[in-house]
Amino acid sequence: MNPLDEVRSSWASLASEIHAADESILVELRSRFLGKKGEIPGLMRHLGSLPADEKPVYGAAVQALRQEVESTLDRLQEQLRATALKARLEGERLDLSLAGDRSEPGTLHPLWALRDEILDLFVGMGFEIADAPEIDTEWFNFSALNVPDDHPARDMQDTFFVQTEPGTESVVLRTQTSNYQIHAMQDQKPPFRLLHCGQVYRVDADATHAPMFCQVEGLVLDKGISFSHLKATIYTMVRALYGPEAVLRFRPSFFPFTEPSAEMDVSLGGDRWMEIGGCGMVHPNVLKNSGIDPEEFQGFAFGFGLDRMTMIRHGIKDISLLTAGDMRFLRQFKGLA
Amino acid sequence: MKASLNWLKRLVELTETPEEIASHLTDAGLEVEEWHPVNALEGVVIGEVRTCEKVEGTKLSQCVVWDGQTELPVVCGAPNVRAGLKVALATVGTTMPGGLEIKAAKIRGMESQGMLCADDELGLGTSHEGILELDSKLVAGTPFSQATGVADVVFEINVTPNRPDATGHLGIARELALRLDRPLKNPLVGVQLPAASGPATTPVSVEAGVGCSRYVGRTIKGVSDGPSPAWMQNLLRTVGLRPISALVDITNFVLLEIGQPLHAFDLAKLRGGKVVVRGAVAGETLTLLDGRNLSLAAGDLVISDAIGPQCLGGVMGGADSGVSSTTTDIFLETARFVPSTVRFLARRTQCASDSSYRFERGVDPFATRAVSDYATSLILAICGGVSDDAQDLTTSEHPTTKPVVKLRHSRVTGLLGMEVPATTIGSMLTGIGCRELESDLDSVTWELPGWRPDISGEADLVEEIARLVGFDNIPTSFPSFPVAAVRLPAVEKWTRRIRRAFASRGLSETLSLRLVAQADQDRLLLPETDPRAKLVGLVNPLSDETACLPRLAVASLLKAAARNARRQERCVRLFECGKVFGRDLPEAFEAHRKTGIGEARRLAGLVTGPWPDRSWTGSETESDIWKTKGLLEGALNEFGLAGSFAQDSSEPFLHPGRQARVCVAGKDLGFFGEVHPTVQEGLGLKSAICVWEVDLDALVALLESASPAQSVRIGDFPGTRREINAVIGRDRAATDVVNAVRSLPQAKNELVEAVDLVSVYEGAGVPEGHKAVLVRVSFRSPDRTPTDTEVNGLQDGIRLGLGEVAGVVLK
Repeated sequence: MNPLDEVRSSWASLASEIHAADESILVELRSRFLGKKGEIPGLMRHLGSLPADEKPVYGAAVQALRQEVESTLDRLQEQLRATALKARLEGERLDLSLAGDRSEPGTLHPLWALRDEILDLFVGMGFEIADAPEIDTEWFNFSALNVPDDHPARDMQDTFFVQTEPGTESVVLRTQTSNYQIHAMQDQKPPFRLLHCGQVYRVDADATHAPMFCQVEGLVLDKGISFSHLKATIYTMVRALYGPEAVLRFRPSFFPFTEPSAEMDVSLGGDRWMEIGGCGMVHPNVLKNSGIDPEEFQGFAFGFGLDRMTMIRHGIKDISLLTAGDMRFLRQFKGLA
Repeated sequence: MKASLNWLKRLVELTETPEEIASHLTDAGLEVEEWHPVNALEGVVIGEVRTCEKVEGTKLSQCVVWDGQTELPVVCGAPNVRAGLKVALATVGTTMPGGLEIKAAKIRGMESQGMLCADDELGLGTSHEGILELDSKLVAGTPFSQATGVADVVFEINVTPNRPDATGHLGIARELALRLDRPLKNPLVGVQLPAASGPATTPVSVEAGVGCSRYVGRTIKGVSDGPSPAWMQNLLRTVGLRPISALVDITNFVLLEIGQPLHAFDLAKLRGGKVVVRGAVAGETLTLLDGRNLSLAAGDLVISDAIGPQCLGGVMGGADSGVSSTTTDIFLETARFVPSTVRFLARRTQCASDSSYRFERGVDPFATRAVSDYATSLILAICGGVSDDAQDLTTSEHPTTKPVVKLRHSRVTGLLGMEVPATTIGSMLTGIGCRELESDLDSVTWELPGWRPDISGEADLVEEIARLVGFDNIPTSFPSFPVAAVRLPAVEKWTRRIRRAFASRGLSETLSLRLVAQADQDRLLLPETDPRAKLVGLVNPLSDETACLPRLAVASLLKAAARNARRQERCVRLFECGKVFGRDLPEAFEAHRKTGIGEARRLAGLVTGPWPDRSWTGSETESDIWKTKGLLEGALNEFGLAGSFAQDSSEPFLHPGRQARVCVAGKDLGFFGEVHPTVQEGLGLKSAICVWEVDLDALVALLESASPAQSVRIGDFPGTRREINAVIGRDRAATDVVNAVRSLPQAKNELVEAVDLVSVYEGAGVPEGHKAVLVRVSFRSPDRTPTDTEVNGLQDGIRLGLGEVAGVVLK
């Protein structure tokens, strides 16, 4: 056999056996046949000693053998890689029924979430939002709001009094957000649309009453503002919050700082009414107490409590849960924007 | 106020259902909170005892009772049962007011189908001496409650303080009469009194300025005080009063019908036979009807006899001079006391009564005499006797004329936003008792009724009109306002974003009750000298637990953590944007200048317990100070703020080696750290707790003043990093090294992109009590690749500079 045939047959015999070859055999074969000192380059060294007319044929034959070896080895290499990858991927299989690393979602407080929503509604209606103190003098909480000390209307709201130095003005935890009206009207002159939301306090505690609760207070003052405007404003708010089917009922009531005064009930269809708050035209005395001429300006004020609205919205039965800081309670309120 | 339907029917004709009446009243502003039938006594009918035979050796009688349809065998144990008697028969199947169900039974072998009732069994009284003996004219078989008139409906009305008239049935009936357009049968009108026996016999004097503006006194002699008539007893019972005797019942009846309190003195017990309305002398005493002994202050309004006080004016009668079963002569007081006087007295003596309730709100000052006449006519008719002339005294405190209000029609239209015809307004105001005095083109001057002291101005009349028109009938219309760009104020805007930043990091927002216990604060180990140690307290707290205002928000969060732990909830991750209060806090509102108490917003958080991690590995990771600090830093970072945490040990409730001041842009915002083990254990908590509390107002100010992030030019050229290893004392902050590097002039070279901390290491190779800090300096330019020479030069300069910093040794 000539050297070419020898190499060819040794390759052929080896090639038929290397199905389940591993990487090292392929490396060895590549080096044995194709390496610089390998058998195929060795065949090329014989080229010079051949007669001129045999050279092309011999050269082409060696080249064909080289290509066969190369492509076979490449194919085997590729097969091996694919097999190894398959094996690796199989080994990497995971049980994805198991939970992922937890990124425990936090939650917003349902009352604050409702507060956000209501503030947005009123901002959208052109109301400016402002703040007011929770600790105030009796004058701002009562007297300026047309509730004189000797009037039984004071009994409508059980008041927490704050310890003060003897001889100083009587200080209370505000019983209503309406103290805001006086502060606002002392600070700025009409026309304006103002809204305030904050905590108020009353000596009261049972399943539906907490000593601290959250109120929203609105005040609109301009020339020619009427009860009709008040109704339109509240309707807009309520329908934005509860949908276009919401119906309001205004019942005559009494608040010392508004005249006429009404209580507002909302119904979402059917005969069930939910009391949401009070409203009315600002009492002339309140305007006078704030240095505004009631003959020139008139306006309306309204207020409602967010705690009950929150409780109804989320089916909360006990008001004290709102301030308990109980994780099991708070974690429930997912999805509040 | 409880109102009886039967009572209202005395005053106005009513054919409506209770539901309709409740709805009318609510629409009128007299909110009916609930209504329910009383004394329906279904199943109880009038029976006629046909035969009655005593059963030997027992108290029982075997009777045959006719129920209008059949003759029923009934066994009865009452001594007064006899043939021919009309009785209240509870038929089989009836449930009695006490809960007893009447069943067919055999008593001693005798069949009994029903029960003959005593008044206590019907819930109509307390007597159980025998069965009720009914009027023989009643027809057997008719329902008992209907036949006797005890069936009634009671309305629970929430009377607002502006409606003293509605504290009597008359005022409520007046509203119904107006709404239903029916005549009001006012019992004060057309009272017929027999001729007086003669001039007044009990001298009365009223001191001016003590709080009694009008006093009508009357002496009635020769009365006999038995039980009041059944109709009156029924009405009183319906509204929850126990009938006592005719005289007491009549005064109560008039109070509840008219809303005007009365007081009947036993004339024989008025020493000196005279009545003086005066201010008390300090030290005088009075024993009230309820048995309480009062020591009076100078000027307290009292009704006195010749010797001493017998009644606390408008509040409560005295025990010594009240009427009793032996009374034959009485002195009847009908007065108008000044509301503020009575309110003050009732509050100071804590003796609120049905009487003070009405005087405080204001009784009709012009009806005093008429009410006295009405009550007298009832007493004479029911108890007999003769009355002498009434004495009707007024003082300077008494209004001489009824108030007058001018109402502009344009004002009605302006306030309501709807046109109400002048004739409608006229009939409405007349209906509530106003009288038209004069009118011009736009206005009418009205004289107001005495029973509506709440009406004092034009707006009050507009309210009456709105009430009667019905608020629901006022159209809706939108006010016109100029276009305005309104947005949330900074504090609202940023608080909202901050809240979402923490919620998105897995914390739950909470809302703490802003009423806390001093004990909650004491738990924080603050020394007495700390202005935050003593909380602002309430004068009248609900309980010790809620007696103070919070000064540190974390105190409430810690309490919540303990509460959660008691409920086996160890994983507590809370934050809150709340308020704290204290005399040491700066003024945020004008009001604080007057109250001396500041309120400030705080952003506080608490993290303890398991850290949410891979859940099925069988092991739990605990949250710790690094994880918590990361939360806080991450949230600040989200807003482009770099918080620096200055090691600190000043807060006694935090671990002295694990706390820091949170500083942003050089401003100290508050504290962060791990809760002191003593505080933690004091709360009964087992694992470490990390907390923070920062000044939310200051944080908002920083956020609001921040300018928009500016873009820096970025290039495509590669950069180089060099690391510098320094050794410092264990107690020094590793960030000191980083900051020292950053402050060197070489680090400010334009080629220096960043200086970062790579690692902190303690252990082998580092001397005892020291730590090795590895700092990385990154060099990069947007314009070119920094050369080795440049970088080496800067690195050498930095090493040299850092090496000169005290306490830093380069490796």
